[in-house]
Amino acid sequence: MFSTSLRVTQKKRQGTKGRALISAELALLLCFVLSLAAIVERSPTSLAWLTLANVLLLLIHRLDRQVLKRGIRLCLWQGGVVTGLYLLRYGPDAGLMPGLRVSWQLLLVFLPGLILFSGGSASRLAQALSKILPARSAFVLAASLKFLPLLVTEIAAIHEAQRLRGARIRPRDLLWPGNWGDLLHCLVAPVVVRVLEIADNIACAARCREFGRFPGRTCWPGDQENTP
Amino acid sequence: MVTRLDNYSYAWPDTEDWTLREVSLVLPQGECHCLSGASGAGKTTLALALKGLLPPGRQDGRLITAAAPGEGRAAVGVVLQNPETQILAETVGAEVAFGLENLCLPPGQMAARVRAALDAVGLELAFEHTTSHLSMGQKYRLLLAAQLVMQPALLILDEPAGQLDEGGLQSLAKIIAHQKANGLAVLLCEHRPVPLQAVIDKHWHLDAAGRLQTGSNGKPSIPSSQPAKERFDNAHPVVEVQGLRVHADDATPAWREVDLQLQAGQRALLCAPNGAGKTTLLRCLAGLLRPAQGSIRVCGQQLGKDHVNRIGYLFQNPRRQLFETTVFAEVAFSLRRQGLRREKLSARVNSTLARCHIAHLSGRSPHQLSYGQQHLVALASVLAKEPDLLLLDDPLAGLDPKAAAMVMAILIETSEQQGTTLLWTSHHQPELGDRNHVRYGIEGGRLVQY
Amino acid sequence: MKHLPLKEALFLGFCAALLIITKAAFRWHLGISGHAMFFTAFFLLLARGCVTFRAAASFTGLLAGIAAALLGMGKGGPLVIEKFLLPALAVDLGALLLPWLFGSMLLCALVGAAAGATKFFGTIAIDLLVGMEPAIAWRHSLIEAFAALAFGAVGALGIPPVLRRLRAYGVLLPETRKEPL
Repeated sequence: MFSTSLRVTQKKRQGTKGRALISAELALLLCFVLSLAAIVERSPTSLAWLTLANVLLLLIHRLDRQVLKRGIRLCLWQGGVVTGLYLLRYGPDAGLMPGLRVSWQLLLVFLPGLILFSGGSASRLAQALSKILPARSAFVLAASLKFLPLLVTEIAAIHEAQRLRGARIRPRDLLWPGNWGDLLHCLVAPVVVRVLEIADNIACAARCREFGRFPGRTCWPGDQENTP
Repeated sequence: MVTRLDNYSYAWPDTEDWTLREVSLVLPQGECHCLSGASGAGKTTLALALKGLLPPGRQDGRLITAAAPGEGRAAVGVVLQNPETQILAETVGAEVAFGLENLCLPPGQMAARVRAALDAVGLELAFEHTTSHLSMGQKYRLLLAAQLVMQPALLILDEPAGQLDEGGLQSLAKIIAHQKANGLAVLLCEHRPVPLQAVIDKHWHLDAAGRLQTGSNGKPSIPSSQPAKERFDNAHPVVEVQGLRVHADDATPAWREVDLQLQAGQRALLCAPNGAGKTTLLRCLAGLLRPAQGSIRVCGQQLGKDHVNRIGYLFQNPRRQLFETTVFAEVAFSLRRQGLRREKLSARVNSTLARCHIAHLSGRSPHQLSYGQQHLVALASVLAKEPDLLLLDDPLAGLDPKAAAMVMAILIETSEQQGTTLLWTSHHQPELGDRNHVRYGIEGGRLVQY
Repeated sequence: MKHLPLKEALFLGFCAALLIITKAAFRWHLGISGHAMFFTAFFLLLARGCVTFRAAASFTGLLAGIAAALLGMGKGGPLVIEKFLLPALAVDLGALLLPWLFGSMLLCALVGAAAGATKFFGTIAIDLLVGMEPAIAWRHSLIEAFAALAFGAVGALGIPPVLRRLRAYGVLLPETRKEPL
């Protein structure tokens, strides 16, 4: 179940890449501005304009519907809790509208991020961030995302290897606390060793290509080649 | 003259022994030199020393590398062993340009150099082509391009034969020949240099003490051996596979359907190029991958979870199997889970360690052993449970000839004395003499016996 | 970051990536609010325990937050960063104040609980900023933080056995091995 679940997550993520209509830099800026505005503005008119802006974004930005649905479900649950607390404290007459307003505001704080960040390529956004972050941090972030599938493959392979040797680490085995030692010793510890090794290999590979030789780095202009 | 070492010695930090001892080496322009040596002898250390990437440890002697003239150039390029952890970008263009970014080349100059590097290795791919969908041969050429784009004076390749099949090695030989003609110096760190013999100008050998000597032409001395003569009847096969197919989601092997039968004590080799589906087949036989169609019977019964004790599986990367704090505990783990009593367990572990020539490592941590030693520990841990069927995924990968011969001798002894059935895979023909009873390949989407 | 070798920085990046992927993998199956702190506490403590750098957990938390934002996880876009950064700061502070932290399951559980408890501060900050009644904000934040505190404590319990194993393997090197550049 573990390896299947992780692979499904990977595949779903891989399947959602598409060309976004908003550049990564603009997405970052819009998200910041809209979320901040939702925190600062409290009047119904302002919140209505912000809602319209988010609906427009929803219409023009290619997004991952599954992620959006999940995110909205989370926001609605939160809104339900907040409104419920207002009702408990102030009663239905005095508590309903303030509770709904605050819940609406919270939704508007989180919605721009959900819309703008759920549809694009993570690496494209990471590339945009690399213009803000220091070179080393940007590389580490990009490498962490890039090599995530490799890590998942390694974990699955280690899981298989240890199961074949008799380690009790299948999901149903782990329902029994007596087998949690096997999980830590037979799976987690070897995975950490392997992650350390992979990190060492990647660091060496990067330094073999002169990473860190100079304090800064220039940037590959992009993958569009000018063909005559 | 491009690069030279004069009586160069190096010891890693916090170690007493010198890894490299008084190494003197000259690498002229336009020549390809091959450095061979046992696993753990120091070939990679020497490569990192030439690149200037060793951490500050004890050093002696002199290392002289040519300065890299011009903008966006590196003096030495190195392609390491595992391509999977060296491809750092998602697209071909970004991958090759990574080095140029680090050298702060102006972005406007990058595209032309990237295209020239890709042309030099024969990769006619668009810049936006994703790196994840390349074959192993293409990945290796991409890594070569990523070094050549920095126009080094010396290019070091660390064990390319371990990654590439015959086709890939032929392409590599052509690239090396072309680059030599352009004045590039090449150093191959390789204990299997025969496939690249045509482009090698000089051989060196690094011994276990870290000393460099002039080497031979690299052909391994094949031990005199009798080909396997045993005859097997088909009455009671250990493995019976009929009509095996896999889901396309799980894997897309070169084979569409497999039929296979192996007898007790039989040794079988499946030899096919990278990506042909050798590992997929082994995983099906081990019960790790559920087939879409067909049946697999082991020891007369349908494959199920009870077969864990009857099947041993040695993964290509032995480190995946190691998790105990001592070699003894590592080998004993499966036996403990089988419920073996202490005296019998101890006797079985000690005899297995002795058979694998690693009894002297019993109390050591497996994670601090050399690659070859880890390989033997992983093998011992699988042999200890005395399986009926032993599946080995490229068991000789990355091993020097001596270690590979040792592993083969252990496996042959196991099959002859215990009647264990062996099925092992490789992406190139064995150089140790053929001691297998049967050899398979993949042709026309099916398993064929040679 | 200047004193953090690239290998260690990449290891912290992978801890961040694994934290994200385990959160995603187990989200649908458990469905309990706050359960994600189990993995958050574990990986942040693992990062700090394996890499002897004072801000190791904070760096991991920051990367995890940015990665979560980039992958569209959680509900907040860039605001999801505080979900990882605040617990990470708690872990680094705990490691600074308690030198015997990684040898003791009890201390690890306490720090894990503290990491989970930071969810209270993250939630109440946003709630007060949007103008929620303080009394309501307080209760709302307590509800969000309670389960996170418990899961954080449990997630941290696995750290001392794992680190003991890694030390026995000999893979956790002392700080003397530095990069040449």
